[in-house]
Amino acid sequence: MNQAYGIVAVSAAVLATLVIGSVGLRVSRTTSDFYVASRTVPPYLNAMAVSGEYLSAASFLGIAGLVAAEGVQMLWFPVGYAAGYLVLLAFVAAPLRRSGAYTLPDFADSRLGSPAARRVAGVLVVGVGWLYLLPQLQGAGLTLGLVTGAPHWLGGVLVAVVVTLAVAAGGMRGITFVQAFQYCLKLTALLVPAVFLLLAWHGDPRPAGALEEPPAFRRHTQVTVDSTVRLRIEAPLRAVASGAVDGRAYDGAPLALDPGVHEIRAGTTLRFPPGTPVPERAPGDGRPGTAAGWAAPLSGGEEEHPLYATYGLICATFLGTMGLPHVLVRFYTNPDGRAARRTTVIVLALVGGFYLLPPLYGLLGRLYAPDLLLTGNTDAAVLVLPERLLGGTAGDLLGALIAAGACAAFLSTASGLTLSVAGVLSQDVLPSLGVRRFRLATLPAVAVPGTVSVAAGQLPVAGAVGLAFAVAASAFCPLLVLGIWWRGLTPPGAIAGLLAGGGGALTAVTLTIAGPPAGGWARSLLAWPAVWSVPLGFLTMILVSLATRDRVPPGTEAAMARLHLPERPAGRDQPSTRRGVTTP
Amino acid sequence: MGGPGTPRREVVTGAPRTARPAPGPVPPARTRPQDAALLRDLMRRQLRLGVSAFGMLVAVIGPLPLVFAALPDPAVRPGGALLVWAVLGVGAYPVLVVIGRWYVVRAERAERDAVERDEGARR
Repeated sequence: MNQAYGIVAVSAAVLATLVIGSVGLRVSRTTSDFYVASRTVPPYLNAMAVSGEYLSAASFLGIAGLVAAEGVQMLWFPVGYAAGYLVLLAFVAAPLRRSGAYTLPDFADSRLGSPAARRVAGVLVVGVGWLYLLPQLQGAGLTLGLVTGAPHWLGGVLVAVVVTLAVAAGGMRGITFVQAFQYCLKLTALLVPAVFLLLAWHGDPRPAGALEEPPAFRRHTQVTVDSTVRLRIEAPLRAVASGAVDGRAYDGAPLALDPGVHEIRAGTTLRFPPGTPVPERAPGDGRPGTAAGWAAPLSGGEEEHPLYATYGLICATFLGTMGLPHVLVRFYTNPDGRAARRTTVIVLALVGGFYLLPPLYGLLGRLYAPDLLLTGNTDAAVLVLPERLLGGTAGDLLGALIAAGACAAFLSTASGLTLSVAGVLSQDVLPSLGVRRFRLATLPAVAVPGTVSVAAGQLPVAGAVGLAFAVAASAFCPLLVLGIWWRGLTPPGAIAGLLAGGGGALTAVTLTIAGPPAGGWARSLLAWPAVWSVPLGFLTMILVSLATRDRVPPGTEAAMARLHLPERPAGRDQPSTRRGVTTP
Repeated sequence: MGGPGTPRREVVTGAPRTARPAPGPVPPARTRPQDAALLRDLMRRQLRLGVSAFGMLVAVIGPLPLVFAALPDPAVRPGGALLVWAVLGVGAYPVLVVIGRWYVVRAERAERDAVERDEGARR
């Protein structure tokens, strides 16, 4: 990748964000109340803003990487990311907007009148936010590493610092125009190169069979392995090696490997002749690898129980979207509940349209950047494709455009998340800090996931986001759905449900990141907790609420009226739907 | 960005929270029994709509993993991947939008009906 172009593109993306942001800020200052101004925001603009904040590094880089590495069953990720908005629409969108809640703890407090429930929800929001920030910072490290040649951890740290400063200074915030612009930038950054890439693919002498063939190196390819990998080889393989393979040192000597599992030491460089099938990475415990079953739906990839894993993913993403802290905040800029619904439908269309593109990159990445399968760095597929397939200035320019889009992806989501987490940290989790210490709270909000992302090394970006969805689904889907539709919810019930569902999922996810059990059902259950933790959350919340029936909050009927009755047109005797809740 | 004016905006973040009486604001005077009935009817209708939309989603998407698992081995009969791609990569999104649109039209109609009923009763 041409570094000069890349650096210019990334800087331009950041600069455009800042310029549009400062213009929006000035506009909003001319009005007496920011949210009065926001009431005039039409649904399509609001929907672009929601989509702009939602499409993160996981969508932009991660989906293509997973599709390249593990195959078509990974298309469940984008479907789930989009379908979550339909569930949110059906159960939550309009009442949530009418509740006037600005954060999930706000909702718990205003619906239940319980500071304890507020506190528990706050802790879980921080957990979800941190989990979601982790892959954003990794995606940032990956992108900036490719663009500037910096080591991965440095890119992540750099973005963490930029986001902290921007959020602490009050920037990047709730400005609809910035987020709407980010959506356009991300869509353009994938759409325009995709057109050229597809043309180039079409013009390729042998483009057919892309879905079925095991991938092979199309030309002489040199691969340097960053960390020690174990490769599974099906047919005898010839290459030229410099480094250490199976404990033997090579110095530019020919290498012949028999079928089986072989270990390539870190730093080894391998040169493959054209037509060599790409060796696949073997999982640590020597189970069958991923590449052979790429075209087979549910062939499983790393999973031992692929059907269970697929349903776990569906549960987490369908039900988790409504519990993501940065999604909720954006719904607040809708003028009323009706607009919130219309916005959500447009979001469905915008997000769905975007998700047509990343899988194409995954497919092309498998064909034209197969060395990534060997190094395991498949999240880079989107970024390297223009250079590989087009080359020359056109490749450099399109690569720079993609880098700018990736930059927009992790900046918008990371700043939205950081702001939500910092707000909850300063208000609900560490109230002793005082509200004025909001800026202080941005520090742990980013520092914790930043440290973990450096320490944890390479998690697949889209997979780590799946974990965040699982916790959000287990904790907040029961709270929101029961809180909105069931009069019988009590504060003890809500707290117990949050702890059982959200706490259970959070524990499972932490164990998975820290080092999962070697295999079997224990591993699958921990890696995909939503299938059991969401019902657990619902059940606990309902049963404990029934057991504490005398603790139903006295304001329940009033709260229900506020959530469900449509707003009066302006000028009636009704007070505004926006009640004294937080403003940014 | 972050001009000198921004810190002031942050202070507002939490200030009303302590001042606000729990468990939330008291709604306008809606004490008549027919108001409670109206709310109950509207909630029931909206919940039924929401469950219907969710049910459609589950009915369309839910069985797909099982269907895909039952597809023949691609080594024997290629083309399975293309089918999965067509369904998940392309076909699913229009279905989501159509279900969403279906729901919104009916939810708005339910609210309009409730408002009309309410105004009729007030007259």
